[in-house]
Amino acid sequence: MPVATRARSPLLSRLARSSAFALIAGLGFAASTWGALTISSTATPSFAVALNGTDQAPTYSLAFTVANTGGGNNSGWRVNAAATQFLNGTNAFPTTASSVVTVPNPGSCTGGGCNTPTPSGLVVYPVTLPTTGGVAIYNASANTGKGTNVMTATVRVTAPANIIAGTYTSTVTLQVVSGP
Amino acid sequence: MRMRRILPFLAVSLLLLAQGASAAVTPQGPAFGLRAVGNPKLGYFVYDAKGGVVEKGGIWVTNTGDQVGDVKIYSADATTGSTTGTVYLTDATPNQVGRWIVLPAATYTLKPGERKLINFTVNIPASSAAGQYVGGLVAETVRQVASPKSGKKANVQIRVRDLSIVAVQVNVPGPQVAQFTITSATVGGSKGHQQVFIHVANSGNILGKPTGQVSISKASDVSATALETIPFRMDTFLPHTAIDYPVQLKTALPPGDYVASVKLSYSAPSATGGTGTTKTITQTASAAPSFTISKKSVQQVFQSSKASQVALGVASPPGRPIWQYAAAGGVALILLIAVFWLIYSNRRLKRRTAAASPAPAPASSVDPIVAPMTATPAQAPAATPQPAAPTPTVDPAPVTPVAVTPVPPAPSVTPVPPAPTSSPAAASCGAFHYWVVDWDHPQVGIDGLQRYPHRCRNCGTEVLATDISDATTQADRA
Repeated sequence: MPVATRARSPLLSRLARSSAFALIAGLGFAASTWGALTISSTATPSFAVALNGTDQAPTYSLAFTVANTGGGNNSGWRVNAAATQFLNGTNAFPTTASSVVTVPNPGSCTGGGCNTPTPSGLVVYPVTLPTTGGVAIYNASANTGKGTNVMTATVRVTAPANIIAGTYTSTVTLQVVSGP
Repeated sequence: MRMRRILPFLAVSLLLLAQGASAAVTPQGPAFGLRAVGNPKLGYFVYDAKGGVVEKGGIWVTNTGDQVGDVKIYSADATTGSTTGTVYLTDATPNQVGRWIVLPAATYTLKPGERKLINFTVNIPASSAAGQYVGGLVAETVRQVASPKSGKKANVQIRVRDLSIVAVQVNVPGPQVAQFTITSATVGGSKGHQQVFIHVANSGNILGKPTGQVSISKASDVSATALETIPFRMDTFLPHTAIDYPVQLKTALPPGDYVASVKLSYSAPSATGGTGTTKTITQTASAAPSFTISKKSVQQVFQSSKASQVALGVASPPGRPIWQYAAAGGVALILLIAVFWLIYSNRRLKRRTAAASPAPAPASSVDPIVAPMTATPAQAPAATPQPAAPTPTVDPAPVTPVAVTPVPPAPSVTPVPPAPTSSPAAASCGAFHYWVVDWDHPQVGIDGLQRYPHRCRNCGTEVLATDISDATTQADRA
């Protein structure tokens, strides 16, 4: 009886182990191909202008997360940005009011096999944001920026001296691009 | 033995899992990403196809966030960004490649971790001319983040749109033409950054990434050594597009007439053939457009709207050279130091006379403490910034705006707008400060405003200020 038990047990355990490994490998392979290039910004950037009769240039921080996971994409990525004109009814800031002063490299990344992005050197700051389309504010070199990287752009806004008190609204569009 | 065989398998499995698990660091809310099917290394689609052909493809859309959400999938045209690089016109109705792409444009609802395969076709029009065309597939998170209203008089709300884009490049075979055209130059900029804008057009039919340089010379003496030469490297430049490419000047230029000698180098196919498969040669394009810098444009770049402030002293009355102002400033500085020294010496002498023995010190005796100060007036000229520079346009040591070094360490949280650490030389500038701003080291005060180290290149005054207007106000206050 004990002999029979010993004879079945290795077979069952081998089957179980093989199944488990196959499952893990399958899940891992699937996870690696399920990856995606994603940008997300959950922060609520804001700034305030205390009107004092002079031109002002307040700044705000725009945090965003770029996740380049799985898939083996090695060609790097680019973040483009645009900002619509600050409007309050018929009152407006200049169309070129927003400009990105800097986007520092993240100090660390998360995710298996991740690395921090290396700027390609093609972006020269400050970068004035257009109202439509976009302009590159960060360009990660090939083979960098894998995994999840949290980045922060400092955006400077030119608030002219003659703006009228009120609530001004602008929409910032962030594009993360895999392309030429 | 069995375990040894299994271990590598296990290691590979865990590695793959770890790679995929990077998506476990999920942002709050839904977030949608794209992945091109069938071209994982390049990350985007490239089709070599004649006009009239229909190509097929697919993209995975994945919700990498931690909440269920809606994603909008659509196509867009591409163009060249204002600083080069491919950008996508996601707010406009597509007219070219964005229009060629046919997909079930719709909004999908995906749970966290859920993904969906979306198939599409690219219908290349039969009339398409040879060349390269670029568009994109866009996944837009239908969620807008709005900042709360602030309590100040001018409230500002910022909404953010997140777009993930995978490019679709179509190469229509035929003669390839690499050609760039330079037509004009203008000057502009703001907040202390003077720029020359070179109007460049990709008049060929293929993508390019030119490199080049621009040399600025005075129009009256083009043959002389250039005032400054700035190299640059462009990103992707799409065919049939044109931009005003900005080049940051290292040294500010005063009003006058100039010539911008521009030279571009770029790769070009040496013979007709398939895209990217032929040998390439380097071609160049050059031009020397002239441009004029007006006083108004200088004011727009270097000073606020306060009419009383003039930057760099370049808006001086006609016919009076700038160096005269600099020399006058230097003389004023020397006089100021001399007056201070006289007052200080006089006070010390009186104190010593009162505290010392009744016998007065001989007039010829030299106070060992005061003695070194006697040299101060003689040393003053050396400390005077640019005392008699004939012109500020040619700076022997060009200053890079972001690399200001002599900024005193300041606390990370500034309790109040800090008092300027002005030097006595500040008096030499008067209202004519030329601020160099270190944008890389902002400091946040308790009032929530970020301030940057400002340093006047002429007089050395250093302040922490929100902008040059604030800096000038602080300097004037001191």
